[in-house]
Amino acid sequence: MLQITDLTVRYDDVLAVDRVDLCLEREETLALLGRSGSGKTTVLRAIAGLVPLVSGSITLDGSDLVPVSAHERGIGLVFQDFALFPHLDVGANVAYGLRMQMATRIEERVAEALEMVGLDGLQHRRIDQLSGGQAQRVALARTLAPRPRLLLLDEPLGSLDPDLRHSLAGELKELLDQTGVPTIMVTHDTEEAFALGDRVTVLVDARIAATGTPAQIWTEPGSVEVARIVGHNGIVTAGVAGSVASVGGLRIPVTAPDGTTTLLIRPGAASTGGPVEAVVIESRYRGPDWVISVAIGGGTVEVSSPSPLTSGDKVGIAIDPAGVTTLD
Amino acid sequence: MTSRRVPLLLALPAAVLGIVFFAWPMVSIIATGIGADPSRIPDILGRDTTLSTVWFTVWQAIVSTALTLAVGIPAAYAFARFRFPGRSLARVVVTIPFVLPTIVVAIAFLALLGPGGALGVDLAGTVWAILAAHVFFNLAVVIRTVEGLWSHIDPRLEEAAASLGAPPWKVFRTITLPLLRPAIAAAAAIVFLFSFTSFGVVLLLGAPSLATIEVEIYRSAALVFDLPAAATLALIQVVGVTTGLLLYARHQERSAVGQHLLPAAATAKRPVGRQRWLVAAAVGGAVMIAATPIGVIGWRAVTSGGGPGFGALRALGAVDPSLVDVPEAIGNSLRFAIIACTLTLMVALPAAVVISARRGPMGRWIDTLLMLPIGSSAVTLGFGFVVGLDAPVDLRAWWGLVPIAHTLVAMPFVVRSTVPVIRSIGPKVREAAAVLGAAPGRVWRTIDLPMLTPAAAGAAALTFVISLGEFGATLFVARPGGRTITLAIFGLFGRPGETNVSAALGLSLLLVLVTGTVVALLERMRVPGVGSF
Repeated sequence: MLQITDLTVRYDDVLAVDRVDLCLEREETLALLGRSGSGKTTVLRAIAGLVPLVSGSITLDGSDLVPVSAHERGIGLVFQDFALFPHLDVGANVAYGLRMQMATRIEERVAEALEMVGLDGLQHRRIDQLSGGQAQRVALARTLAPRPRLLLLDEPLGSLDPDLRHSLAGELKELLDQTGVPTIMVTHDTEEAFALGDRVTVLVDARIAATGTPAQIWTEPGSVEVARIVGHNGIVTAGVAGSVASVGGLRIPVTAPDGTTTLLIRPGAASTGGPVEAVVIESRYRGPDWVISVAIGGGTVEVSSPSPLTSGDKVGIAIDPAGVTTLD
Repeated sequence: MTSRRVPLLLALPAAVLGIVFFAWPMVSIIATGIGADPSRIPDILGRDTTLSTVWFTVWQAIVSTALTLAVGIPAAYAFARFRFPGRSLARVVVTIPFVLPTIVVAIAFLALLGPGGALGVDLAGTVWAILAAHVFFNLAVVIRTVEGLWSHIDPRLEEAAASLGAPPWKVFRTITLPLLRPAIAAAAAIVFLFSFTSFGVVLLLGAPSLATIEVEIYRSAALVFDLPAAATLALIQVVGVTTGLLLYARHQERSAVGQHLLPAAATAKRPVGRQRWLVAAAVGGAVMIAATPIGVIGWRAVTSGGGPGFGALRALGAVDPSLVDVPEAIGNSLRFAIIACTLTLMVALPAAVVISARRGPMGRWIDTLLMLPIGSSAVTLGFGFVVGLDAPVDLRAWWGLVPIAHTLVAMPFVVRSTVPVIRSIGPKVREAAAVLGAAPGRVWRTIDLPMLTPAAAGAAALTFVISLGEFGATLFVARPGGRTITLAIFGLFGRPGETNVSAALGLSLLLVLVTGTVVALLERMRVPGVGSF
């Protein structure tokens, strides 16, 4: 339903978004994941019509959005720190979009929207008297009340306390499922992207580096940057000869040409007691067991162990080839 | 010295000065107005001239305010939201009119749209000349005050409104304007106040039927010698203006919206497309309004007086000293300005330190109290000196009254511009110094003093400029032998002869150059508060 092709945006002399293609299906939530400055917020601002495009097309349900100005697009945008109107109370904030539509039954619909986010009866509360979580819900209610065709969330949980983020992520997921509005959310937090996104698109330096379901991105990140953004540690360099990559005694069939390649050893693929030689870097207590970081092939891999090991000791580990993939 | 421990005693000199040279003269005016012959008050109030004067004063102030806002707000928008070449220079240019002496403003507008003026139309004696001069003079107040808030308002609020379906003009009406309201209201109040109490401009550009209360006070007291009438008018003035000030202070407190403010650098961007035309028109218009009258003074000073070169400078030497003693006036002005600066540093600055340390109602009260001299106006102050300072010691002929009047006139401006600077010295900085091992005296010497220095320099410079340009109070208080440059300009302009007019232009240009230099220096030093309230 939303189709973005070849989107390019420039701020002064900086290329903020570079030839990005995206599509979004009905009732789908897409998470745009990336570090700060990767251009993910700019993609949202471009879809909302808040920044001029250098090139590219954006169509929604087949109609071209580019010539449509921001206030006529019917797209809801929740800003990172919510941008609630400080001179209006909660009710007037939520009613704002309805007023612009000259909607009827405004009071009723404001009440419904507030009920939907669990803030029934807070119409007359002043904005500066809201907690962070409440402000986030008011921002959602304000954006959803005019029934947007598309919902854009910029770091919806980014400015909240870690405790709150967890509980609100669940609620947000429920709300998005319930309203069924197609959503693009921007986040720098992998956990959040995986929890909320049906699909995840990773942006690196203004370009798309990977797209897929959370499971696909996790198991096959494809490149070192994406693997790091997703939170992987076990990135090691291996020599390749005759379509076999070897590092510290580990041998894995690959399709790479002779030379060197980068391997991702996913968490859980490595365990203690095996033929692969590694050196203990540090031991860290995690709860029931210990996490041992070991050096192998210029990188580190984590294995679990019932007891700590001495730093600098050699240790033999086993690596399950099914848990290993190549990276660009 | 922590911010909470500032002794109230520091405000004592300001209090003494305020009681002897402000409160007492005001009481004397009341005594003269009501005490002399109470039965005359209804008569004075009921006169047609009184009513029409009050009416004219009010409506010209309202129109001046509306026009200044109309020109100033678009320029404030351009300065707040955009980065463009020549921005700092343009800001200096639009600020200069505010510190120009009112008599120079009047001379400039006479040269621009008076008889034989540069524009080719004679508007002297019409309300248009007065309104134009008021817009010129007050533009900086609107631009600086509104820009100050606008540049810190989060542009995302406007974007949020747009994404909720608000077209640009609705975004402005429902979001931007309400958020800017405190700044616009503050600017409007100050412009109204200055236009309401306008003296020099109206005295020279107006006509007998076009006089503000301020001008009528002067005429009644100094030309007709009807002291009770002058006192009654002064009372109307003080009551009206004080009411306005109090309303303004209350409004400021209530309409303050707790909003999240961003650093100005985060909200300004390069203008694109249509915005370029908007910025060019708004800034260009404001700069033209500010620069044209100043330019005309310079041009006329060079070309008048006959012959090539700086005719005005030669004319200065040619003025008959028995009529107007030009060298003496320059000497007096410098002497008074230096004394006023010293008084400001000894009296107003310590008071500002006290106000900065008190954020509660107490600080606000002292603050409002120190604003009163603006409200009561310079002419009323001078008039008060004349009727009040005859007993127990007759001070009326004392030359020292002039710099004291200048200090009082400058006090509100000094306090307004220095308090924010002093407040910005956070207690944390002092605590950090203390934790690093500085004893209290050392903290004062190494933290407070260096940080106070720009505030003090700014206060002194502001007083210097205000003293040089002060006209209304000086006109009442100065005695023969103690006349200043502004009085000399006034005297020269009232006399026929090209030499005299030319010399008046020369002296005006001198004041323009001195005040312009001081403003540019203050801007360079980033002393806030020039023209901002």
